[in-house]
Amino acid sequence: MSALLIVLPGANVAEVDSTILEWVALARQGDQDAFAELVYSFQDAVYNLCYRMLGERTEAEDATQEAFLRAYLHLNRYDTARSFKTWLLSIASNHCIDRLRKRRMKWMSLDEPLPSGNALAISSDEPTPEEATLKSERGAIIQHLLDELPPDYRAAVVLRYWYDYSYTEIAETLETTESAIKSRLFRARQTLADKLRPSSPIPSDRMTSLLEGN
Amino acid sequence: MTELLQRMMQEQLDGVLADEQVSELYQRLNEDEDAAAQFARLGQVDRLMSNPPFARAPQRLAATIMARLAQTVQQQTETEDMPDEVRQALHMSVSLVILAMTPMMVAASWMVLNARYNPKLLTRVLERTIALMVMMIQALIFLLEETEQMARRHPDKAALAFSLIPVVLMGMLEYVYGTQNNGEAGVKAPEWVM
Repeated sequence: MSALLIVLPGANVAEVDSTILEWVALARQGDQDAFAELVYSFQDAVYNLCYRMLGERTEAEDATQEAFLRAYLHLNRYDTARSFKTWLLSIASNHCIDRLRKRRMKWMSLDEPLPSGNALAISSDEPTPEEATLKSERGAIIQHLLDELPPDYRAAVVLRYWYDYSYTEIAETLETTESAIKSRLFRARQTLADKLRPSSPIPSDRMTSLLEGN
Repeated sequence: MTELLQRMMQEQLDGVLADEQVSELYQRLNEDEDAAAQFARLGQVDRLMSNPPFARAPQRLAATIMARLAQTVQQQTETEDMPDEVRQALHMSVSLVILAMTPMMVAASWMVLNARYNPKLLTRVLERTIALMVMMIQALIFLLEETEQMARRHPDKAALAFSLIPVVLMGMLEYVYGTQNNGEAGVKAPEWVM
C-alpha cells in the first residue's frame, strides 16, 4: 500500500489523483484497507465541511462517519473522470443540508425559538487543541455568522472560502448551476454584510480590529 | 442596483472579473454611493472570511469510521449469504403480511368514521385501534427477527417458518376483531374484513 496522503484544502489534487484512483479501484473490489487510506486522506476535508455546516463537533463527527459510509456503499456510482474529493464533499454537504433541514423542522415542530450561533458553538465536551484554536475570537465570529445562513447558502460559502472552490466546482459539488451558485454567494455575502453592520450583536470595536487584522 | 453591477461586484470579490470590466466597475461605483457602500461591506465580509481556521478531524475518527464500515459490510454479507429460497420466502411472507394488514387498516378507518358523531365512543375506538395496531406491528417485528435468526441457523426450515408468519398474523387479526366487535357496542368491524 502506498504511503499516507493528507489532502488538505488547496493541495494539488491532480498530483495525487492516480493514487486516489488506485485506492478507489481496490475499495470497489471490497478492499477495506484501501478505503481506509481514502478515509485517512480526506477525513480532515470532510470533517471541516461538516463542522462548518453544523457548527457542533459531535454532530460533525457523526455526519463525517455517515458521509464516508455512504461513499463506500455507493462507490460504484463514482465517476472516475471527476475529482474524488469533490464527489465526497458532495455527499457530505448534501447530508449536512438534510440534517440542518431536519433540525429546523424539529425546532419548528417544538415551537421553540431557534438557538443562537453561540448556543450551537458551546459544547460540553472537553475541547481538543485544534478546537481551542478554532474557538479564537475570529473563528467564533465566523461560525456565528455562518450559523445565520440558510443551509444552501452556507454550503456555498464554506466551499468558496474553506476549499477555495471555483463557481464550477461548487456547482458540481452541490449539484446545481453556476448561476445559482453566484446568486447564493451574493445573497449570502449580503446577509453576512448586514450582520456586520453597527447594529449587529457583534461589538463594532472588536469587529473593526478583526477586519483590520486581515 | 442593477443585476450587472451585482454580478461585477461578486466577480471582483472572487477575483474572476475580466480586466477590462474592473475599471468599468469602479467607474460605476464612483457614480453610485449606495452601491459603493454595499461593495465596501461585501469587501469586509470577504476579508473576514478569507483564510478561515480549518477544523482538523479528531484522531479516533478514522478508526470509528472503519469500525462502522466493517459492521455494515458484515451485516450485508450475512443477508447476502442467505440461500435464494430463504430470501424469496422472506419477501413473500412480508408481502403476505402487508396484504393481511390492509383490511385491518381499512376496518380501523371504517370504525373511526362510524364513531365520529360520538366523541366518547370515538376516543375509545381510537385508543383501542391504535393500541391494537401497535401490538400487531411489534408482534410482526418480533416474528420477523426471530424467523430470520432461525433461517440463518436452519436454512432448510426457513421457508416453512416464513410461511407461518402470515398465518400467525391472521390468527391475531381474528382475535383482534373478535375483541373489537364484542367490546365496542355500536361500532363493529365490517363483515367483509374477516
